Amino acid sequence: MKSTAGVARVVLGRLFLVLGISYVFGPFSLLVFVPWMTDEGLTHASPFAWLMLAAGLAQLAAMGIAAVWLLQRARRAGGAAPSSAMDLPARLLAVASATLPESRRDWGAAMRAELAQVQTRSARWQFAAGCAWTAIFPPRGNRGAVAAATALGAVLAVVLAWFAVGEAFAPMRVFAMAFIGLIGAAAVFAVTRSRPVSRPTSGPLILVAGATSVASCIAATAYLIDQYPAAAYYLRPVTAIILAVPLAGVLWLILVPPRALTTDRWAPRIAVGVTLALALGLLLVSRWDLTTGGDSSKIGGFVGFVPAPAIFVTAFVAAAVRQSVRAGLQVAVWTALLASLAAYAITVHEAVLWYQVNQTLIRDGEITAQSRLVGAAIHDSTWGLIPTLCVWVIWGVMGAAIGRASRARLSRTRSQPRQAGQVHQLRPPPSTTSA
Amino acid sequence: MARARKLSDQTVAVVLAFADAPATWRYGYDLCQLVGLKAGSMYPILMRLADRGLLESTWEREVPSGRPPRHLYRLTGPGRALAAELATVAARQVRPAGARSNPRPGPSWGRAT
Repeated sequence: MKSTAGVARVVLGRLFLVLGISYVFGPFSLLVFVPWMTDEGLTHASPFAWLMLAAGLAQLAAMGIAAVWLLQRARRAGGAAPSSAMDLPARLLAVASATLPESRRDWGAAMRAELAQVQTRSARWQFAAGCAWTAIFPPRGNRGAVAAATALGAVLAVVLAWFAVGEAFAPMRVFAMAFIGLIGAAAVFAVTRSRPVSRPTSGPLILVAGATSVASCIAATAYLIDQYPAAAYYLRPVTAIILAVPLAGVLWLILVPPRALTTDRWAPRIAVGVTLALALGLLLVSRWDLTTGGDSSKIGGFVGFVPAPAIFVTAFVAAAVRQSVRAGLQVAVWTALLASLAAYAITVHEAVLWYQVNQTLIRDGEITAQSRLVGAAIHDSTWGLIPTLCVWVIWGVMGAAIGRASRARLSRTRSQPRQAGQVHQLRPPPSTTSA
Repeated sequence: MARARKLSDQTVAVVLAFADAPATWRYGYDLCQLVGLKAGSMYPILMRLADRGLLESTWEREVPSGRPPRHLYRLTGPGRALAAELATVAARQVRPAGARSNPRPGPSWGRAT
């Protein structure tokens, strides 16, 4: 007869299976409906579109929760101590103190040890919240002047971008301002924080690949608008800012990565390799689609159904082979970041080619004489970029978690018969004990 | 000892709390309760004092089972000298009003550290 915990495990496992199957395709509705709804603004969306968007978001959230649950299971399977012994204030402080630079790590341990002495619930929350604030914003020493100088430099750069880009290529003016402004804000935040003893780096491979990806996205956007100036209609201010957010975010992440993304030396190589394979695949499918009717079904199918499973499998294999969830997660995050930018750049570039060859839109294969509509590729790809990134990262996290857990289970299964054999040999024969 | 910048009221209060029993090692939470500061104010002050060499710290050696060792703090030599200086200034400022001999500082202590 199974124990209550055993039954709960089985029920949870089956529940996850159902959730997994149900939600596998759900988030892709975001990729379709977000651009469609926002083409003329959300206010013009039909109730059905709103319903689909809500369903897509709910499914994305459920997938995220499932990924976190799997991650916790994998950590336990890999031998990590369960964190359930900690209450919420302790967890808050543990997470916040993990962000402290090396030079302040002792202070994080000191605050955690002190929290263990605080008894009442409200006092624990107060103490943990204060310590967490200190851990996230530790004393910065005498860098106030540096921060002010950096902020001034950022403001000047934004103003310069407004005039320079406005003069040279006016449609990209808002994008340039937002992009430089976000990088400047991140720089100001960085200089106000304590400097770690040894700053982690993403490595030359990720640095080059990431910078190339960001540059390709900007170049492809500028190229399309340069070819079809009327298409600038689709790079309206909101869309320009939405495009600047992931591009600036990725650029910042490759320049100043968190330590958690830099510990596995194979992760960058695997991520760049998989990204190149996916980019090449997308390019080939686009050309194949174009030469066989150009109805965009093949390219849409590729973007919707190939990268996510590819990232899942890559993260799964990386976590299983390296016997580390973290290795799998690093592969997943770098691949998702690089591949999503590559998909944007290729789609926007191919949109120009599709229209030049037979006046077809890459969005839906429609043949039109209005060149302005080519710009819809910028709009669609921009609004799809962040949801795509989220979906791919979640798939990668699930792959890493399942890969690590599977490997741990396999190791246990292999070691059990051996241990059983050893016990059997050590046990004395019945005649000896009876004597 | 170098006092390039004026100390905040809260920092002075912490230094003087240490100076009440200079040889005693103190804990972060106890200091919060003693001085009446929240952890979000206390720990940055302790960090700055330690950065300036005014505070020494160590980990608790004899730890009862079931809890982690605590971090302990007390003033260094320069820290005690600063505390004495602050106490003298405080006494000079408060004496005309006939207040305590070792008072907590008032708002006249200046700006933040």
